[in-house]
Amino acid sequence: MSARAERSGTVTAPAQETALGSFARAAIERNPAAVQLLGLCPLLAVSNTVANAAGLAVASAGVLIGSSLLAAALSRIIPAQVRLPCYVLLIATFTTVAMLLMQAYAFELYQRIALFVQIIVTNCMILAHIERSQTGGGATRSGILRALVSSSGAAAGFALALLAMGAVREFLALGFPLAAMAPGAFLVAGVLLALTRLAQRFLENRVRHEG
Amino acid sequence: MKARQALQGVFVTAALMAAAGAVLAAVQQLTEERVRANALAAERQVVRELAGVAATVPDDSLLLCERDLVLRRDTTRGYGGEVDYIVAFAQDGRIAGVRVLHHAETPGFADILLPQSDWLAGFGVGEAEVHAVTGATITSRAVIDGVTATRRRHVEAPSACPPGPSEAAP
Repeated sequence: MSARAERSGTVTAPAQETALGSFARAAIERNPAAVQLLGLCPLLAVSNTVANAAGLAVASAGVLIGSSLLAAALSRIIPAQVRLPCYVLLIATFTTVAMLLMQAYAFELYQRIALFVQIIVTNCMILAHIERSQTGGGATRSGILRALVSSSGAAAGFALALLAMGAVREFLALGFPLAAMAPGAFLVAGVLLALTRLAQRFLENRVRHEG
Repeated sequence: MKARQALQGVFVTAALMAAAGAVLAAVQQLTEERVRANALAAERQVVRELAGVAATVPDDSLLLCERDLVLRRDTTRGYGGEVDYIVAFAQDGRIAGVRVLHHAETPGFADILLPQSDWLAGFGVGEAEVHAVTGATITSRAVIDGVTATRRRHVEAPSACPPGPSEAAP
């Protein structure tokens, strides 16, 4: 456990972490988009409407959770030297499957966000998450369960960021068309990030004063 | 020891690749029919918007005659890949409308290819020349060149439409 926390280099995990705690940590404390600032390209590009954002959130979640589970299950078989190529292979496979499924069952949505579904492969958020969570646990049942919980958390965190951006931009676009365009994405993302940081600092201060 | 480890890596990667290929082939098989049906339905919709009837433009003849219009399907090379489109010609050879069926252009820049785009509607206006769009120069120029070539082919080899427009049920 300590090795895992050391490797992650951010927040020290409590020795016995509950599933809920691990989920919340992956989703909020280490939110892929708002805290780690990973995966911003699709976040900015696809968040012009809530529907687009939700579509990409579901596709990303499927790829992230699926490849995390398989990576955990195969962790004992995959030698360390070829770990990254194998992870990329897993991610690429899941992404292609997600693309095919979307073409078959959500064709209209696919036509709108096709490119950003394809480049889930290169979303560093996913590779970073798998690489970081593959240090302890391994192919045991608890290791796979842990991968399920933390990858679901990261997926939920990414979805949260996408939906927040999508909701704000779609609402603002009613009055300011700029919000739905590319410059609007940067402005909204910047303001939302600043607000997140403010809230974070406020909460930290309160905890310190009470503690 | 080193060599064994390296070999193991090669084997594991190769096995994973084979497994991934098998999974992808299976999923592709399972979804193929639905994907094709979806693409056809989307194309039907495009033709309905252009010509008022739900139909598809057959791939082999690249041609459909409906209600005084001749529809031609063609392809041009854009920035991200091929752009498939349908041009509707009036009987006098003027362009009545252009719709894009499929493209791989960069999102955002590709907005000019959407059915509701003013730029694409410019082809149907007639007289005035359609200009390339700054910021999407390659995409817009590719479509302009493509449509111009389609029109040249159309004028040089007039359609084999039967005399008197076919009156398909709307």
